Parts: sequence; structure tokens; C-alpha cells
Amino acid sequence: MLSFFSPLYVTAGIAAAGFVVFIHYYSRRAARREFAFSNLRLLREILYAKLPKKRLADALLAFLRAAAVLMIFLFLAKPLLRGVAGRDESRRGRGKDVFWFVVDVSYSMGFKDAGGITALERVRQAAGLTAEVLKRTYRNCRIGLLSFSDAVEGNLILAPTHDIVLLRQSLDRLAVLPKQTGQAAWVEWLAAGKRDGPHEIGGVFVFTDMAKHGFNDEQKNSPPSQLNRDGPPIIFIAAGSGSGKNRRLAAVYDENKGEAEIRIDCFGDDRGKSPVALRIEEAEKGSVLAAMRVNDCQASTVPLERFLPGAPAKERALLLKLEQDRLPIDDTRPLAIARPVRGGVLIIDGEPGRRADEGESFYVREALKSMRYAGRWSWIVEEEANRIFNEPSRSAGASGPNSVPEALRSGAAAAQQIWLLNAHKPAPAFVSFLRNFIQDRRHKLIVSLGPGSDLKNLGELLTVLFGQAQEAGEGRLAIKGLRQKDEKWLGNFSATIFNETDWRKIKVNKYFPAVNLPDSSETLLAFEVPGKEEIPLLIKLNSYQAQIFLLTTTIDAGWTNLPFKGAFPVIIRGLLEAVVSEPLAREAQVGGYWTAPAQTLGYSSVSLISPSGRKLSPTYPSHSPLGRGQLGPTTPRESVGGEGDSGFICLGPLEEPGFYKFSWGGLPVSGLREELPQILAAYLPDNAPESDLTRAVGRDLKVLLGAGAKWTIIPMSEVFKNPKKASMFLAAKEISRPVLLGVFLLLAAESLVVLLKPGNKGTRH
Amino acid sequence: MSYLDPEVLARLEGLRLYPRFAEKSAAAGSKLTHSAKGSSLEFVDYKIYTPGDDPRRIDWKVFGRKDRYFLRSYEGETNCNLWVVLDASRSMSFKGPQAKMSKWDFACKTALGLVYVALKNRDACGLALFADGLLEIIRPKSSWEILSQSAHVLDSFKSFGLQTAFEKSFKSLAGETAKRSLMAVISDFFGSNTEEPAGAFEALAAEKHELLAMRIVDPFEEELSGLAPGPCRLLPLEVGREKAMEIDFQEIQSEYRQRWRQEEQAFARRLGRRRIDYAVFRTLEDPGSALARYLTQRSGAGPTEF
Repeated sequence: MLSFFSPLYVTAGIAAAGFVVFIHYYSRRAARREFAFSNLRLLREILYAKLPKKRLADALLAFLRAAAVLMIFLFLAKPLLRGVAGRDESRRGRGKDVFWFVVDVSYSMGFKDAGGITALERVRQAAGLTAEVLKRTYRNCRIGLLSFSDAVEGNLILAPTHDIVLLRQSLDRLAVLPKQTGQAAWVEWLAAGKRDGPHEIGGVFVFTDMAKHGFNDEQKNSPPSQLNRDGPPIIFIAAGSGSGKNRRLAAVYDENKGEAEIRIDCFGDDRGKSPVALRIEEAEKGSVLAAMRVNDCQASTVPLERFLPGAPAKERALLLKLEQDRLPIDDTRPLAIARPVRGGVLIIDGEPGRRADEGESFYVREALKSMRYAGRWSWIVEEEANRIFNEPSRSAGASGPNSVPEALRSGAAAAQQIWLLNAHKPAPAFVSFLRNFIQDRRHKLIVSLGPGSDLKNLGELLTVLFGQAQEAGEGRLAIKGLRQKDEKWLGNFSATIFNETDWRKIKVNKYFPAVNLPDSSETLLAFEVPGKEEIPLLIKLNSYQAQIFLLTTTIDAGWTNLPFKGAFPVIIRGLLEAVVSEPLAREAQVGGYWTAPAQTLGYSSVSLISPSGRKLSPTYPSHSPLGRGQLGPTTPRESVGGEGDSGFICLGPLEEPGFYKFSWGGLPVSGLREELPQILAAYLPDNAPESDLTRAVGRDLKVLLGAGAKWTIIPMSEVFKNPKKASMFLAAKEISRPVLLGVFLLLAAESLVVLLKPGNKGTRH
Repeated sequence: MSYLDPEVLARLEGLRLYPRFAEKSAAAGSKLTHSAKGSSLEFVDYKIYTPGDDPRRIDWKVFGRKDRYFLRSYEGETNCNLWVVLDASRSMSFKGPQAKMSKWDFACKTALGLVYVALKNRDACGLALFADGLLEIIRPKSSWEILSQSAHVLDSFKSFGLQTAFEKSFKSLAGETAKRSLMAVISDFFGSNTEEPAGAFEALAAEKHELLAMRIVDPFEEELSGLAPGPCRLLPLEVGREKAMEIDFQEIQSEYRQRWRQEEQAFARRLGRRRIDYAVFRTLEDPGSALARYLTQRSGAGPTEF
């Protein structure tokens, strides 16, 4: 930003002026011609006589040229508070004559520096000086006071006033609160609260110690960034100790290992020097699980296993705290962390194709290619599975994060979903394993039947009888509860798209009629042939504690042309999304919102269940990109924003740390999705780059306030040592015209000097 | 290239170089080339009378026949020599952007022209080259051999002196000749300061020699014009106090010209007080024409500015 205080701009201006001086002198010495002359004596005598004047003229010229360049830079830079109406007494009261002092009263502001003065005391001094400067510059301005920590402190707000004494008294009443810093709070307050309106505010002075930036991803894209585009300049007065020291906790998940690690990041001068005491507590009970001392905190990554030995039966939220920290850090917010649920789907293919592009598994693979967790699948042919169960010591050739031998040998611990594709003759040990497998309510089994399927064994396993394979024909797929006019969803397909798809041309040549279905079974997908009864194709069974999905036909081209139709990937994905738990939790910011593409979620009636069991419905948060400034909850239908691929659903706010789960509406398949992606709400995102706090503040502000917003960071000591200087720089006085006039005067003076320069007078050419 | 230029010599036909002291002390018989009525010397030629000639020398018999005044000339004894003293310092090698030739070329042609004029009138003539001292010397003779000898010396001369020492050189030259002589000093008169050449002339004049100061000037040295504007790095031609310097001629052009004129006028005035004839020759013109004009004007006591 072209501001007086932009170091880059000042540097550029000085460099440009320096360049002018350099060119000035360099060009004078660049004598490219050289020859011998006979009468140097006379030349020397004349030259020496003229030298002092010549040097003076040269220096004057260089000065004038450099000054002209600097003035041009000043002209382009303009003062910070330019345009504030306070400059015009006649328009008093109608312009931007209100300034806000925003004071950080978070816990870190109580940190005493080497002089024994707290940051808040420094802020009082700085604010007092700033008020004087503003009063001197804009006699009729009003100054308001706002204090904040993680939120705006409502009882510590002083409405804009002319009374400096009152302001000072209010500043004196400010006290440090045992809270964290959240810069976004005051931005929202000023922008959304519309007190005096963002366009009427002459400037916002934020007095903070810059302990951390405190903006999260959602807030970076918030409406204040739009509203503030033409809004007031924001001047951050860095009233802290100046060292920019900070530490931060973060949790890192290793997706491959499925493990979590704790990382402690240190910033500022003290990085890596001071040991840090880390304490881990169980969130619910508050019991201390571990306490340790980390000496080299810059490189500290602590495996979660260290504190949670063994595989936890259920996830639990932990609170991580930094204690006995000497640094001015107020980041004592606990970090919730828990072991993610491991997932994986084992597909056992009973009738693999002879070529890579045939067979049921080929079509399934193709349909799953674009699924983000497709890499967590394992495939095995039925014969191999039988051999493994018959010979447990044998190692199969499969590999990968969920390799078949590992998955099978570890039993229920690893693979939680199994898909039997046309299993011909599962070995007794294998069937026994499957029987045990479906004892656990968390496990899912998908069975698709084909011509060679072992109906007897599988039927016993599923407690279902199958009839002879029957022929069907060209028909229409139907989902129970779906009607043409209903704007509801199936996976990625809206009703409109669903109806436009050529379902009628889908053929199901053969299928196995399932009979003796238990009462708890439910037909999810049916095939309608004119003149015939509805033929169930996808049936959900509750057998033991597990959920079993039965596909009464194969995906083989000989039995149905379904794999060649666009609806097939949708059905497959919907089916798998229903049975597969999200293997890794998604991380979110505590206090923030969870947004996800509507295509991924697929339901407008989706809601989130907090760790404490509270249900969170879709809302428009005040700073949601969907909200466009609206506040408050909306109906589910309205919660789907955007069009087509750009639709989002916004859920939140996530006020509690820990895991959140999705809850689905009343659609037939909604029950399948109870264990879809979990959301881990944590306080700080682990991937937020932050190499330098001040820079981070700048970067985040730029995002938060928008590219066109005016803001700057001023080291307090630099400016307020000299109130006159501060007044000049901050002043709203129109200096553009005087500066421009100065440029012209300088250039005129330069021309005059060139004209009167010794040797130029009376020159004959 | 030979400095013995036929065109230059052709322009000097019929011209003579008279010493002033010869006229002054004609009664005592002191002369370079003179004719005096009543002398016992051999008749040489008639000369048309011009105003200023001694009317006593008019041959009235011839006047009776021709009705015009003629003077009789006799070959008398020669008791005064012509020394052509040539500055061979490095500064003489300068050639400006507008000049036809270098100052050295101009001076050599002028010097040989003087030798030719002297020999043509059967006067004894010698040549001396000097810079930081006497470099070459050819003692005066009245034979034509002097001309070829002088031409050979000048044609083959390469080693210019590193600096100009007028006093030292003139002192050495004065020691070489006991006779009262006419000395034509051809130089640019660039010394370490303005006083030096003038002082040297004064010292030489004190030896009763008659001196001609013939200054060879390149137009650039006088005007500082003819170069494209912009800074130049100038190197000294001679070794001395001067060092290389950077200068933009345009910046000091006017002041330089003014100072040049002032210095030249002061030099001329100072020489004039000692009755030392001072003439300026510019390399922009032909040396034969310039010398012929000078000799003509000198004999007619006209202006000495060329």
C-alpha cells in the first residue's frame, strides 16, 4: 500500500532518490573521449577558479533532483488519514470525524517487559498520545474506545466522544482479562454493528501486542473484508514488547500412519531457547494424562501414542496446554485431539475378469476413481481370501495401507467394510470370519449376487432365502420415496437430473429374488418394469448388529447394462459413502463453521452433532461467504448456496472442541450415512503458515480486510516519540497539492541552476 | 614528407628579412644584408626605391635614364647572423580538430622558409632546436648547404622534448654565438607559466640580439571550438605540473578565450617593451603565405598580427 509507513514504499522512494543522485554523479564522470592537449595550464587555472561554484551547483542539482523524486513519491503515497472530513470545519459532523481506539485486553497484554511495564500500560500511554495527536489535527473529532480479547468486551465500550479526559479515564479502567486474543471480533463488531458505519469512521487504531494473528480461514473470507474495502484505514499500534515471541500448539495427523502428533511451534527471538512445559488433560474428566518438558520446542513432535498407549476404544478429546511459559503468550487455549477411527473397505471379488477391463471389480473401480478415499480400498479375489483363511501364516501379495493379509488377520480391527462381489464358494473359515464380522455394529457387509454365487452359504449367513434367477427386462430404477416433483437428493443427483437420466433404458436381464426378508429389511433401490411388480435390487438388512447391503443382481454386463449408464457411479458411490466411515476426521476451527460442497454432502437436511450431542443445523453465519451479510439461521433449503457445482452447505458454529458427526434427514438412505465424515474441531489449524508474527498479521489482515483496504502497522515508539511528526504523517491535511507544487518548484529551481551553472553562461555553439 | 615545400619557397621569392639593429647602426657598418652607398664593396643589384630607404643611396644616373628611383646594392661583409630557433617540445606536436597541420609541421615549414629567405639574400643562417635544452644546432653559414642540412634535420627529427625550458635553452644558444644576431624563435610559447618565455626573451635580448617571437597557434588552442559537447579527459602533452583532467570545454569556453587573449596581450606588451617583434601564425592557413605576409609587413613596418 502506498503509505508513508510502508517500509517497502519508503525504501523504494529512498532508493529512487539515491539512484537519481548516483546517475547524476556517474554521468558527470563518464568522460568517454580522451586526447592530449597542449595548454592544460590555462585550463587548470580556469577550472580551479570555478571549482567551488561548480561543486556547489552540482550538489544543488543532485539535491533538487533527488528531492523532486522524493516529492513525487510523497505525492503518490499520501497520508494515512487522507480524506477525513475533519479537515473541513464547515462540514463538521457530516464527515468521517469518528476514530475508534480498539484495545487488546487479552491475557498477554499483562506481560511485563524488561522495564517492568505491562503492554497494557504502554497502550494507555500510546492511546493518550494518539488521542492528543488526533485532537490537534482534527479539533472536532470524536474518539470511541473498544476493548476486546477473544470477543468484544461489551461492558468496556466507550461511545465516540469529544472528551479526551473521559477517554483517558476509560483507558485507565481497562484491565487485562484471562482470555485469548481474537482480532476478528472487533472487526466484526465495527463492521456488522454499524455503529457510525464503516464508511463514516475516519480511522481505527488497534493497540495490541501482536501476540498472534488470531484469524481463521472462515474469517479471512468474511464479509468485513468486503465491507471494509472502501472503509477506514486501520492502524495497528504495536504496543507489545516488540520481540514478537509466540508459541503455538498444533496437531499433525499422519494420514498414512493414522496417527496424530503434537507439534509445538515457536516464533520470535526466543525460538528454541526456552523449555516449554506441556500438559495433556482429558477434556471431559479434566484428569491429567501426561506432563512433559520439551526442551527444543522448535522441532518438537510428540506422537500421540506416548500419551494414549494402546488403541483407544473410543475417541476422546484431549486438552493440550503450555504451562510455565515465560513468553507473552496468551495462547493457552486447549487443543482437542483424538485418535481418528481407522477405516477401510475390503472387496472380495468372486468372479474376477480375465482381462483388466472386465469383471465386476473393474466397474466398481472405475466408479470409485474420483472418490477421495478410494485409496483406502483393498481388493482380493475370493480364492486368495480362502487360501489366507485356510493358511493364516501365508502372506498374500497384496500391499498398501490396508493390505489384505493385514486386514484379514487383524480381523475386525482393520477392515470394517467388506464387499462380497459374487462370491462363489467362500471357505468355511472365511464364512465363519464373516459371521463374526457382522457381530459388530460398526461393520458393514455388501453382498452382490451373481450367477455363480454360493446362495446357500451366503443365504444362511444373511438369514435370507434366494429364489432362482429370474429374467426381467428394460425398466426404470426407482428409489423409495423419490417422486418427480420432489427436489431431494440422491448422491450427486438432483431429482431433475435423476428424471432426465434414461433410467427407462436400463436393463436388468437377471436377478435373484430375495425372499423371507426380515422385517427390518428395507428396499433402497428397486427396478420397475411395466406390468410387473417392483423388483427390489438393493436391500438393506439388519443382521445381528451389522448392516448388510444386498444387491440382487451383478454388475456384470451379462446381467445388467447398469455399469454403462451414468447412474451407475452415483449408485455405487452413494452405496459406499453410506457404508464407509470417513477414515480421517476433517479438521476445523473451534468457533468457526464447517462448509462443504453440497455435492459431497448431498443433503440439505444434513446437520452436525457436537461432541456433547447438540445438533447444529445449517445456518448463515454472519461472515459466511454464503451469507452476503445476512445473519441468523435459515431454512435448510436456503442453506444450499450457489449454483450447480458451486453449492455449499454451512454448519456451525463449532463451539466445542472435539469430534462432530453428521446427521442426515429422513431420506431412505439417510440412515446409511450416520458415520460419514467426522469433523475435528480444534482451536488452531495445524497448517497455517506463520514464519513471522508481524508478517502473519499483515498477511491475514490483507485477506481479512480485503485487497483494497488501508491498514498499516506502526511500531509505537517510532511514531509517537514525536507527536508533531505523527500528526504530519497521520494528518488528513491535503498535502497532495503542496507536494505537487513542491515538485514543480524543485524542477523549476533545477532548470534555473542548470542555466546559471558556471560555464553555461554565454556559451557559444 | 619533406618540410622543404616548393610552394612555400615560391611564395617567399624576392622577400628579405632586415634586422632593425642593422639600420640603426648602419654607420658602424653593422648589417645583415644591406647596401650602403660609398662602401667599397662589390655592386650586386638595383633595388626599387621605397619610402623609408635612404635617399642618399639613390643612383641618379639610372634615374636619369629610367625616370624612376633605384638604389644600388652592394655585397658587403656579413657581421650579423640569422638564427632560426625552433621549439621542439611535445606541445608543438598538437593538432586541433580544425587545423590543416600540426604546429610542428607548420613551424618546420616556416623555419625552412626563413632559412631560404636568408640564403637567397646570401646571409649566413643557422638552425637551433630546443625543448628542455638545446637539442640540435647548425651553426650559421651562408651556403645553400645549410638549407638541405636543416631540412634533413627537421625531416628526421622524432624525439620531441618532454618539456619546454625557455631560459635554459636561450642561455645555451646565447653561449653558442658571440656575434650579435637576429634570432627568430618559432614556438607556441607554452611554458610552465606565462612569465617564463617572456623572461627568457628578455634575457636573450639583453645580450643585444634582435629577436623575433613567432608564435605558432592551433585554432583549437585559441578558441576551444570544433569539438562535440560533452566531457573530455585531457592528457598533458608535456611532463610537468599538469596532470590529466576531465573537462567539458563548453563549460569554460568563454572564460578560456578571454584569458587567452589577456595572456597573449600581456605577452606581446612585455615583448614590445623590449622591442621584440611578436607575430602569431595560425596553423589554419598556409605557412608560405603567412610567412610572406609577415616578411612583407615587417619590412613595411605594418602590423605583425597574422
